[in-house]
Amino acid sequence: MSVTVQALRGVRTRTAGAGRCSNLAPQLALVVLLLASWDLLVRTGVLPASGAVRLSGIAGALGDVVFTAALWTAVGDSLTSWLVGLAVCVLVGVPLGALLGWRDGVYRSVRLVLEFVRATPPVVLIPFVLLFFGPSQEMKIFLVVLGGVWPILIQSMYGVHDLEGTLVHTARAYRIRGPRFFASVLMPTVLPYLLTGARVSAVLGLLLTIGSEMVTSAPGLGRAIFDAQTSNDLAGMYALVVVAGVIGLLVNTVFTVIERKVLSWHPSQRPVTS
Amino acid sequence: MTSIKGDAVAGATRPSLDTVMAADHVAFSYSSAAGAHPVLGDISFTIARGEFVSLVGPSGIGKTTLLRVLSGLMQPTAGEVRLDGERVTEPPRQLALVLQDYSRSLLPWMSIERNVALPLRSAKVARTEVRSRTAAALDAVGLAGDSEKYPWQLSGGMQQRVAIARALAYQPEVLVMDEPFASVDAQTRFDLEDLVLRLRREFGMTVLLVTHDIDEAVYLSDRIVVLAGKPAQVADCLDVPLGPIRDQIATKALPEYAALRGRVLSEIRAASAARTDKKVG
Repeated sequence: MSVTVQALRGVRTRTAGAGRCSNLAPQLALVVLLLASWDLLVRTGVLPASGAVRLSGIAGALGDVVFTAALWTAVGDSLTSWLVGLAVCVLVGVPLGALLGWRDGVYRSVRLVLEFVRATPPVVLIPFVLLFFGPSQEMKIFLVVLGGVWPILIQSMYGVHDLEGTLVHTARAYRIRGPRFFASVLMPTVLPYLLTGARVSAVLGLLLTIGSEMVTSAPGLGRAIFDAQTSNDLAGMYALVVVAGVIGLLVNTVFTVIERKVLSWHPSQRPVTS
Repeated sequence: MTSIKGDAVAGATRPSLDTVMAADHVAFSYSSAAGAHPVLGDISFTIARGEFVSLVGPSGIGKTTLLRVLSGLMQPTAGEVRLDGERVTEPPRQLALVLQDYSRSLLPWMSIERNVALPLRSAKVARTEVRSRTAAALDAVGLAGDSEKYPWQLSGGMQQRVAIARALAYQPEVLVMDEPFASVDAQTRFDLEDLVLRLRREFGMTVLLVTHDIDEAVYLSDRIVVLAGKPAQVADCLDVPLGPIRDQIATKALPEYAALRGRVLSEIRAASAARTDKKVG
């Protein structure tokens, strides 16, 4: 438990206010440096031309592919199964986790099993779900749920379990109960955990979606990348990889913004006072 | 003073029309796989309306357990707690709680004002009245200008003032406090002690204080209930005839203050020595 809380804090601790902006310049500089190094390595032949493409080539292919309907259909397929899967993860994981975290005995007895399940790489599920559903949207959704439900379930469990004595006693002594207890005490306690869990589930779900498309040739961005590679369209493949990277970055940004807005009171988000 | 089987200690229970709270042969034990662990033996005492009573005892004696039983958060395994003559089976509306750990008892996601107002809103008090009572309570503890702030933006002493304001706005008959000043520095503790004494005079509140700090108990109380033994029992009950107005310097310089302090301290020492002997032997 303490490890998770540490991780939760570690992931979220960031410098507030002016720090964010002044960090942007060195970050962008690093991106430019990495891109330039890549280009240099390809141009000088350190990276073989059979696998690597120069920046200009990738940029050109990206410019072409962005205006094709095929790309957006693929992106749409991927995002649909991902989002539906993620929604199911939340709908199943949050209440189930809350139920497990509520009772101390249950919490302690299920922890080991859950840690084991979570530590198992969810990609091992791909052959299994493929047998049931074939290379389809349903297969991907099922995979996202099977693999992605754990982080949010476990965080929900931890969050409810974290409702500790003093707070509960205070709420009970002042007769705060029912819907008001849920909205004013329970939810705000659990929300930081849920958002962390949802973010991990979201990233994991995206990985499983695109990964399974590559392996099983179910429709989506992953399959498009795989197809580009097998038809030796290297520039096109890299362009699609960039698209996938941007989607991942957007997902993470959306979650960061939500956390900052919703958790302005939380130690991980509030400005450092001392 | 030490042979207290069954009967109440002299002065602990005072049958009176004006009894607000009564512990009547209260016992409590935790049950586990290894059997029952008695924590509270057979505890009886009463608190009169307007009285300031402190429960003192060596650490680990079960003071907090007793407080939880008295405030209806836990049910006694035997005996009963009565408030205004009615048996307490859940936290009663007439009771407000101030706990030691202000950082956990206040909600960090709510402003000071909303923290203080929450129990009132929960009790379906009219909106305008919630606002006026909240404002008056914050004013009484000297935090009128900080209502929009969040608890974590305040010092520990100020956070505990918020917790006191929350109790005050709730307008309880009995204010129950569990080691409320144990987590703040000495100067802040003196300020908060005097604040509680002033509020108690102004609002005519009955106060039950649980503390391990003997100075604090003598300085604040009208009566001190000393707990000792395992399971805990009422070992002694003494009046503190220092009058309603107290002063951190003058009161503590009084010979009566020193005598009372010495008596409570030696009783607690004897009690904890007895406990240690039992453990060793």
